[in-house]
Amino acid sequence: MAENGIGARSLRKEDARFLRGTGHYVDDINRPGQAYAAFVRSPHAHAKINKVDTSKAAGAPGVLAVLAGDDLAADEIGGLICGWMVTDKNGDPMKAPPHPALAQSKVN
Amino acid sequence: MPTVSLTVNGKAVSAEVENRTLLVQLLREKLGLTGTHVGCDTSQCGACVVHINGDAVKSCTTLALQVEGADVTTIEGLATNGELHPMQEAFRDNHALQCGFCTPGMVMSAIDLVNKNPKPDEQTVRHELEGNLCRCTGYHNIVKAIIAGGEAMGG
Repeated sequence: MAENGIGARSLRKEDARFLRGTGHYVDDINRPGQAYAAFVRSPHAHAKINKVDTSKAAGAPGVLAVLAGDDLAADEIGGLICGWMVTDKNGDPMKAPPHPALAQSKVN
Repeated sequence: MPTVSLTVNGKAVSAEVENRTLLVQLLREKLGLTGTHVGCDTSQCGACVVHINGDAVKSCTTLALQVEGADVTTIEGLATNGELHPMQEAFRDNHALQCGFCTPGMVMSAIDLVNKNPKPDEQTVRHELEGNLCRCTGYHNIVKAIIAGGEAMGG
């Protein structure tokens, strides 16, 4: 193995902090007044949403907000974007289905 | 709320905890020692391993109140005067980590393993590591590091 240049061994710079327990992962971040989010997932893989009743959750102590798909729609928050939009032969944009961040009317 | 008093990394500490507070929550949230990680919360991954009176224990499955009066060591307490513990050094030298998330638990388990089983062979190391999961490196270099670290510890 070469001593330097291509093929040479090089020690990683990040290992020292990982080995000492001083890495900084997302769960390690703690800011003043930090709030926490919890996600509730549909028990059904594909289903029509008749109603989401958030009243009990919203009334629980310490809860700042409970948001469902309709709230995102009311706030005009768009869906998740496709990271790589392509065009067809005529230059027309690809047809991307709506992909709301929280399910709206239907669980896909 | 009850108070728990213990020694963490050589320092006497006490904190108010709920009956249900886990040791890992005490370490991370009350004492700010975020080197101990919660990977699975179900005792499988071993990212939360710390030493309680010298024994490697999963701190996500230990109540804070159980460690009253105990001597707890976390990954932050291994280096002395800035010098890495021989096992930490061996992990670095053998490229036994990539993302580093499982590393604190791996190192804590490895030190207890070598303390109780000096000069372990490869099969022993692999067997003893069944409670620590790594999603990056495929264990090969971790096993190499633990054997090397064991030798460096004078085991």
